[in-house]
Amino acid sequence: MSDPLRTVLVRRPDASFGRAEKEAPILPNVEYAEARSNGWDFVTKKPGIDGVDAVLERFAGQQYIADPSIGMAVYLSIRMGKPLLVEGEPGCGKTEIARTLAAALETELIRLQCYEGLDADATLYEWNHPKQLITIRIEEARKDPKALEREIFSEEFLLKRPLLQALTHDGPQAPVLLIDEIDRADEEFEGLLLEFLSDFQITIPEMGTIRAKRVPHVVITSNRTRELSDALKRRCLYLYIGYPSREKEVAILRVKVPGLGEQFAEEIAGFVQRVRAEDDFVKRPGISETLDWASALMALGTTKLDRDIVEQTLGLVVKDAQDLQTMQAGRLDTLMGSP
Amino acid sequence: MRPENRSDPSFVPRLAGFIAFLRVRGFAVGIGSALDCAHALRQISILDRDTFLAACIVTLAKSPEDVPRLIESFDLYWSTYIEPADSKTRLAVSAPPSPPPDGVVSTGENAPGFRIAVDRAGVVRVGLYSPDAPSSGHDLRLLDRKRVVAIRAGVRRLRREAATRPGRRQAPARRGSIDFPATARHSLRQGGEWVEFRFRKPRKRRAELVILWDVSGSMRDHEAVLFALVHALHRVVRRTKVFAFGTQLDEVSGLLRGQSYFHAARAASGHLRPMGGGTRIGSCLEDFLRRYGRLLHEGTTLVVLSDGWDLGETVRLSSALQRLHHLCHLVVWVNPYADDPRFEPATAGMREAMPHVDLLLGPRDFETRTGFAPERLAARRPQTRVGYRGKAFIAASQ
Repeated sequence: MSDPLRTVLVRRPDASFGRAEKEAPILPNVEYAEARSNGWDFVTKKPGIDGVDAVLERFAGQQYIADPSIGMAVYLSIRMGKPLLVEGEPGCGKTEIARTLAAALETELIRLQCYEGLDADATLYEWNHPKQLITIRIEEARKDPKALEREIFSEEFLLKRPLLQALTHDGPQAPVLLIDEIDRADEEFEGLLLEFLSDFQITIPEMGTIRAKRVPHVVITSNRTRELSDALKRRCLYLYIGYPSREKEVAILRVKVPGLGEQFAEEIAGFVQRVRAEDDFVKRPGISETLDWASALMALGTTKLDRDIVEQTLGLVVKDAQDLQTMQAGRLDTLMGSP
Repeated sequence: MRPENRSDPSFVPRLAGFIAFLRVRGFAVGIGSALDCAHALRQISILDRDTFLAACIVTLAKSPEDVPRLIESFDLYWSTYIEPADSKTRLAVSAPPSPPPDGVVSTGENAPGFRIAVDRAGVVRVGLYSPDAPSSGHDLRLLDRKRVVAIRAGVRRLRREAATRPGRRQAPARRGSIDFPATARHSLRQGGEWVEFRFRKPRKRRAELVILWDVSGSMRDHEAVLFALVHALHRVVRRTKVFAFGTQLDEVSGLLRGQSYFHAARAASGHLRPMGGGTRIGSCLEDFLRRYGRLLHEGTTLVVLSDGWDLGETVRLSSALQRLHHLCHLVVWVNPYADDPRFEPATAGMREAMPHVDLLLGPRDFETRTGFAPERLAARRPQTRVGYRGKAFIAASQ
């Protein structure tokens, strides 16, 4: 189990002793005013994540029902400071892991959505060329050219993109960096990531190497539409999320869709599980489809699954034209009739 | 669950033995992953078996297919004590276990290449393939020029059908979206009046091929025509990678690159592994996925040249081909016996493969003009599950 809340003295960053944050346990004979005057603050700190159970507890607090395997992967990723590669079927909660982790750690989530053609300008940094041009025009008569060059290639003129934002994050906690659907990006982008993932640093030719102030918690997701390179996999811990069991899906429905009765949740989960078990379907429904469908049924005021309501809302569960035709051609009756 | 001090000196050799055991069983575990595993085990309690296993999976598995195999290896290794072959951590396991095919009788313990292993359920598994099998060579005969030209024409038809996906670049077209810059330029010739619109649409992506060529003994009679086909595919489609397999997988693209048919045949004859050692299609496909899986994407067409005669575990063939089908644009299977109208996919390998094949062809289909006719393509389509990519292909060819 996790430690209880504890109060500590934290040295303020603006104190005259330096900017380094240090903390000390609170002592009974220290007066509040005395501590304040010496550059200390009283802070109540939340316990750190010190085990798989703590991860599961924190995730449950954020309404994420996690398996022990997910807890283990997240815990080891935090403890070892290694990126976590999460693969799985679409809509099974891969992206949600990063969101939940950020919320559980009370830190910022920085998201990089991958797509074909993603390059260094969109992921690392870009110089603010218009601002540089304006500064040159204003300052060229007044400043030494060397000094002007130094100025326009400083941090002030840098447009930080997600990877650099994660390295230079100033918050009290390391941020969570989500690199989403990396399989959509080109293979060259994986090469770009290698230096970042192994050393948590980025080299900018004009400024030198920038290292992480705090090593970010990196979560990389992939839908497995292509194989990732060995070099990338080697730098990451690995987690595969498949479709949930019926019991887990019922539990997720109960948590995520308020007001859903247990019996109705069982019916919905049972139907979705039967659809998933069909071998000849092109697109199988994930958890997100189940949740959308349950929410839609709740919005329609339904409390029991019957054939008409299922047929009317089938598009929320089955999202392929061929699968829809198969369902309407008689498969729906079979699935509704199954125990 | 606080980490315990793992200072027990006997644990590290056992962990190293486990890593070595995994490598023997076909896992690609590098030093980095092994160190990650050791570091992870310092963070958890290894006295709890499930926790220990979960930490191993997180650090050592690199794909969902690895997970069940890792669990099986974990059970096998940590449930029994395996005596190291020497004072270090090398194990007395000489080859990965493989089951015999149905109805094949073992040739005895002293036969060359005899391998035996006992799995956890006590089932004795005997492997009948052997990389040390006597060489019967690959004497690739040359086809006459007319047949080679006909095959090349057939391959061009396949290339046309394989390149059905739109790319990012646009090209002038009769229909599509309006190309305003081109329309403006054209209007200058009419005195600035926009009397005629110009259109453009996405250019088709170039076909990319990956060829898996079965060079085992059962393909001996068809080697000449299949080699001509492989050479034609490599020559006609610019982005092509060729892999030969029997019991092991080898890339042979370099032998064909820039070579004439005659010189390529001579180079391949000297380079290909000896046939007669058996066929393990599933294992080779898994190996291909692990080593070269990154070559596959939604624009790749995978061409498998094989008769489907598999002495390995056909379940592995099915799962590997399912994954390949998911990754590729098209899976085309060329079976040398498929030319015969009485052909039935009867071998165990073909039966497992058919649900994941978009198009089944015979070599003769490449040589005849009617081989890629829409009605013939429709007839060649397997009657089992075909994904949307397969349908797109059939629709494009109609």
